[in-house]
Amino acid sequence: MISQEPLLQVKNLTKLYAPEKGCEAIDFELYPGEVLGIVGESGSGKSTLLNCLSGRLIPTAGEICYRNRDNQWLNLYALSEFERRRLLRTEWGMVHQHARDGLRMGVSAGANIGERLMAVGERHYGDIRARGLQWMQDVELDIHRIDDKPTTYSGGMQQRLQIARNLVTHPRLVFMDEPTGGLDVSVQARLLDLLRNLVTHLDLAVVIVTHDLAVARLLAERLVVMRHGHIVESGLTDQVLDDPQQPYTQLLVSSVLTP
Amino acid sequence: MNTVIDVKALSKSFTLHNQGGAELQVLNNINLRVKAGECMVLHGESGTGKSTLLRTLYANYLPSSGSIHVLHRRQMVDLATAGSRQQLEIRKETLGYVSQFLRVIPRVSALDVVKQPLRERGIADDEAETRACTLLRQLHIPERLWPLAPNTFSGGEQQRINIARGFIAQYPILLLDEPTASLDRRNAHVVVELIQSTLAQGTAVVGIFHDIEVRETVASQLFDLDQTTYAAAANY
Amino acid sequence: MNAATIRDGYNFAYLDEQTKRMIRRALLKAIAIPGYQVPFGGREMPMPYGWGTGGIQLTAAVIGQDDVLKVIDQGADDTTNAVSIRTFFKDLTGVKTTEKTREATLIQTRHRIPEVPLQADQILIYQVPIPEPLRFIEPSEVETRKMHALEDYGVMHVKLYEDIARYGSIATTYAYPVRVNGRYIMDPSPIPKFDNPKMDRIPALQLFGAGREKRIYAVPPYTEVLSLDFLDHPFEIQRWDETCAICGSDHSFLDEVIMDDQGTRSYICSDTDYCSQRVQQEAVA
Repeated sequence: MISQEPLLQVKNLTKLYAPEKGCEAIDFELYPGEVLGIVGESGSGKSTLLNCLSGRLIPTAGEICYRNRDNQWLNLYALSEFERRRLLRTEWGMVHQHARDGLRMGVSAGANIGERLMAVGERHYGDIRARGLQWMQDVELDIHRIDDKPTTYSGGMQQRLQIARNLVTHPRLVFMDEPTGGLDVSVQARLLDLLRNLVTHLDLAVVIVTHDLAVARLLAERLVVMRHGHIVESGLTDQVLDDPQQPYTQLLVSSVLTP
Repeated sequence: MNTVIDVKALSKSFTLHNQGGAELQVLNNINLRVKAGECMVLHGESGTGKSTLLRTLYANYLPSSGSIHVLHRRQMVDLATAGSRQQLEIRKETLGYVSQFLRVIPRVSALDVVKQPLRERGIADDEAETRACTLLRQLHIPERLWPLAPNTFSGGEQQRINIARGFIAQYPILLLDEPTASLDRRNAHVVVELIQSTLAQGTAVVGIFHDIEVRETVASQLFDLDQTTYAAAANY
Repeated sequence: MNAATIRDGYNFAYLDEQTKRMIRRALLKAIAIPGYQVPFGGREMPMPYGWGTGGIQLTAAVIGQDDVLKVIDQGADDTTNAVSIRTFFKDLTGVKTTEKTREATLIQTRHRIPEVPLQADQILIYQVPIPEPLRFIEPSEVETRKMHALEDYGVMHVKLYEDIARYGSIATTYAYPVRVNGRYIMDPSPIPKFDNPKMDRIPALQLFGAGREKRIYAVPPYTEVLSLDFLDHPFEIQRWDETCAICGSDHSFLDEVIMDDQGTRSYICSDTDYCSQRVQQEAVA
């Protein structure tokens, strides 16, 4: 609903390593249940922005405000690290491009899914395992492989495991960094479809960083185009892709074979 | 009947920054008005901007100037100046669009594709399913195809899936881009019936129909773009 | 200081007084924050790491002339490690040594806690190889320190979860992680989990020294020490169907001993002092 309050407010966010390296003066709002795509080529600052947003990189200026389950506005970098970490593993999630950044490769899939539950104080093994099995099913993983380590999983399975590991605490906001990067096209399609369904059913708000415009079109309702650390264009995904206004966006869109 | 679309002084040009900044003026000072229950057919030679106008009415293209007011939640809202979120909301509740081609989503079944607009509005799955089945049956989509993803379907089948998806939600305003283009006579007739019944229920339709027979059956007014556009150099 | 009893050219208890003070200061901090690992400037000792250099430095820092020292290794007073360390302190302090738990004021141990309950005037000093309980899952020291600071302890249960998933029960039998005073997660050193309950709210002071890693931590007297577990897989200690072949004990920690080439097995108390005390009492009775 239009009158709804945003979930996330980003105001004048800046993190620069050098002029035009990083992100500068970023403003946007994200609403509950909304999927926002951030596109741009490598070096455009989208990863820096995502790292700032997801609480892993302290910005040099600006602020990120988040409205939590209790309807309180929290300024992400004014929180203590304890509170920030707690937020990250309860109300937020992070799906990394490389599964080994987001998974514990040395422990079983079940333990990977259960870790967040245990971190928030769940102490019943049977419950933790049951929820692990349920999530394995929900992300279309073979439940008989719950005790296998992620090292024995394929790339697509690792990504799905990462998603399950994040969603187990029912976050409201999930950040995704190129979640389909490096996957075969057929595996990509399956993952995208899964993400779409999860997003709709769980009413997740998602910020997804990708350089793949097809992925953006499929998942994102709104799009932000970045270049040299700035937002150069934003709007409805189909608007930006079908009627790009800025020279850079036109170049980006026209360079793709089938956006 | 009250006005549901009110377009004033609408112009649309494309600037091709990567082709020497070439400027293509496609729509120039368009004024049109559609009332509830009316069907306005866009008419004109190829390249006069029919599709561009339709897409602009859907906020897929951004107008260069002018206004597009649509009746949304009992208020006339200007699509040209509405924010992204309001545009999304208008599309979800008020404004339907049936494009010529189905944008295929991998692995999603035909039935789910058709159900989706209702599911997005939070309508219960069984009700959405009943309505989707009725439409698919009406459009002669064989039942064995329903659980399959439409990317393997024929052009005509894909178009009918697209039509079912457009009609299921009973939008107050429906934009149709050549809905009968690749359909046989029997199915074209079904589409005409669908349009007539939706008009009878008060939906306003704006469409492009090349088929003269279809056009003459459904049109309540004709909007001729040949008369309004002078620079028609582009292939839009 | 009775110089006559100390080997020529050495300070009392080997370490110089400044070093001992430094270690004592670290100890005070460790006792003030139960379970917290305090870094200290560990010295090179005249023996390799892994032989108990951490425990020895703590003992050297706290030992006084009136102390009575007991050293055990795997519960036994007569193994090489225990005998060497005892001789070392005898040579360099001249204090009395004992094998009897009740008589000792200082007990340096590796891998066991004596069976006899410890008293308020006793100090138990553990030799610790790896002080960081989070190390198995998080290789970065910066990150583990942060995890302790923020009580970010979810991963500890991950380890126990893995045990149950793989073996049907918590298979960790030694170095079983504990939570001290409701705050810090602590590695109790490689003692069998059989001994974990003996750490909980006891009158004696418990000190832990890791020589290679240069860390000290402590459990003050009467401090709660709880073993981590799951509601449906509660913490349990080992039990034996057998009894001690020497003293007949059915409640102490037993070592399995292979008796002959045919593989005949026998079980005896790991705590040699406890076992011999029981045999003596039996004889008196």
